[in-house]
Amino acid sequence: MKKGRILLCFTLFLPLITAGCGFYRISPKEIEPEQIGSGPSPQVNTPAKAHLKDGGVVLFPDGFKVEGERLLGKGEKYDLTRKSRTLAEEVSLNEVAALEHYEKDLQVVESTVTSVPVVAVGFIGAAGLLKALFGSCPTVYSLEGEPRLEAELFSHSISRRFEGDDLDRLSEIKLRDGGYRLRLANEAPETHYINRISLETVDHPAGTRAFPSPDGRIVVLAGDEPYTARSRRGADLTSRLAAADGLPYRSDLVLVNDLAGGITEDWIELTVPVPTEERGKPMVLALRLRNTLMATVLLYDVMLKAQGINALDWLGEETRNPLYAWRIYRWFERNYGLRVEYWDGDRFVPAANLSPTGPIAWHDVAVVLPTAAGSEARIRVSYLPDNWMVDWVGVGFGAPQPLAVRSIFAKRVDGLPAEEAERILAPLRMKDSDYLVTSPGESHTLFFPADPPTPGTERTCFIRSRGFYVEWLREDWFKDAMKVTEGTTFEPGDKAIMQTARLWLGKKEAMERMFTATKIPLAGGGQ
Amino acid sequence: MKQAFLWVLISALLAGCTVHVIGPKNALIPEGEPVVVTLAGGDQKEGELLEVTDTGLILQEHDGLSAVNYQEMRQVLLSRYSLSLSGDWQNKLPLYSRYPQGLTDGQRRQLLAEAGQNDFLRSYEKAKGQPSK
Repeated sequence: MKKGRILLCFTLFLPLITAGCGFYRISPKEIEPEQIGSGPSPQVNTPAKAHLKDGGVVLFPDGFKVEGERLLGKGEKYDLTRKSRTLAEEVSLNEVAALEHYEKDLQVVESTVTSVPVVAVGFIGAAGLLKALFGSCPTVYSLEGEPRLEAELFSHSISRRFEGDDLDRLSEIKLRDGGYRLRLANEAPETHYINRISLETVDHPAGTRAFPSPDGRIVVLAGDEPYTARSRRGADLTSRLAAADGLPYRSDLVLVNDLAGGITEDWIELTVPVPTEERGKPMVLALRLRNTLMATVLLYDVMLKAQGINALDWLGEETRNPLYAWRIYRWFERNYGLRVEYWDGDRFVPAANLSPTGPIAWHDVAVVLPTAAGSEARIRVSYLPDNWMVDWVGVGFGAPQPLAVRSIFAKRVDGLPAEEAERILAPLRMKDSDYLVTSPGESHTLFFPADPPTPGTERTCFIRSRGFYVEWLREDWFKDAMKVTEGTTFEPGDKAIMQTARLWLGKKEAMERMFTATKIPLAGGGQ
Repeated sequence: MKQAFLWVLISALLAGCTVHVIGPKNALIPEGEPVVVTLAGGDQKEGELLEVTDTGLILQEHDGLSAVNYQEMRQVLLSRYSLSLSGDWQNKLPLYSRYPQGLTDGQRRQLLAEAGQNDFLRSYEKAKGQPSK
């Protein structure tokens, strides 16, 4: 049914897309799911360079494919001095020191806005930049005393097509010297493209707490209602989830083992007594959680590494196909997200889906649920086993409105004169085609001017962000690519979930041990 | 489902109507990117970015191959990208250079010989009018 609708959609609108608006690469055959991502052999279809060990270079304007231990394509070979040019249709991988390719420019038609800078997704074997094992996405630190990790931004926006919005609660930030300071950092072998960043201050009634909702709104939690909590396997989690203490509930590995053999879920079920005076009011469920590294295994080992050198093309080209990108996005959200349901007296009814938030920082979120009718409410939070860690759960009744919400843009960058700071800050003010592009090890301390909270209220700060990031290829992927002879373009589905679970069982402990030890040092010594 | 369906329609239309793809082939050149390096004293050096080394940049300037130490540099403008960088050179610049993989001493000597030089021009020597060419 879905496929039928999609085909209909493109059949109806293809003439409009292609005739009225210029060139775009959509063609009818690309929308056939079985034709998407079924390349015959490892290849890169974007313009690429092969830097040679002798100092020469081979340009492949139309990309190349890998066959055995050779790069094949229509190449132009230049010597060390670039004075000699010959045609080259194949290059031995033994001659190659580094590979580089160029993502395509996007330009807004009928606009004077400059184009998004060309992205050079680079792989340099000798550069020593690719030591880190795991990526992250932009990290944000508050700077009151010891820098504290507060958020990781748009962690599932792994290419331009997946560019997305994010809203993160900042629990440690303090008003000082007329404003708030945040350090924005790139700590992984990735290029970050940050489109917009603002600090949001929310003044809410004293004694309440404010959280982001999954759809990017602010939800206020009043009270701290008692509840009992049990896992799917019957463990009593009530005391474990009562405090945000960094000691989360994690799924029993028995369930992960089950997942390796077939799709299954873990869940936490809450039973909440509803006092008579609270009946008829909406419920608010607040959670403090983060992902384990399971989704990281999916991204790195199943989505990227298994594709070998195709991953480079996949990130730069395949994910530009809107239908393919949509399929992956929806599949990932549906399966690796977290589902909140409430009991309507007859069955559990879906109330909200939470997108994966990343494995680095704790993420606070709140969901408004319908009115509890009876004397007891039941809420279920379900997800793929061991894909999430849940540290704290809070429940309240009623959903008071925030008293004042302000959106503030950064005005200064610590340590930089105004002119240089403006180059960093200007791209962050608007959701447009202008990005702040950051490289591994780069960090900026942003200052957001702000007034004190309204008297009689409490303030919670949030960072609202939009952007995406591009993973750098790692040396071992490149080596693995030489072994790939069949097309392995990633295809979302249950098989990928089960494969991820199997890999997760084998490497979970080692990955978690190494995860924090492999961040790239920040320029300037920030941690 | 209706929302998802609508999303597909809108994204497809927007993709088709608001963007077009221009060839990144313009970016694909055998040389390094042209750069303008602003020195701490305000002087500027223009040339092709050849290599990013542990100590500085190697440039192909109009009057020969030159070396600039990181300590002397304040800003690097990548002309074709309109991208200005003010630090973290060793991480950010290699992909824009002619030799991102780095050169051996022998390859550097070969380049110098082609240029008729024994050593790289140094900015402080140029400032004193003492090119080592």
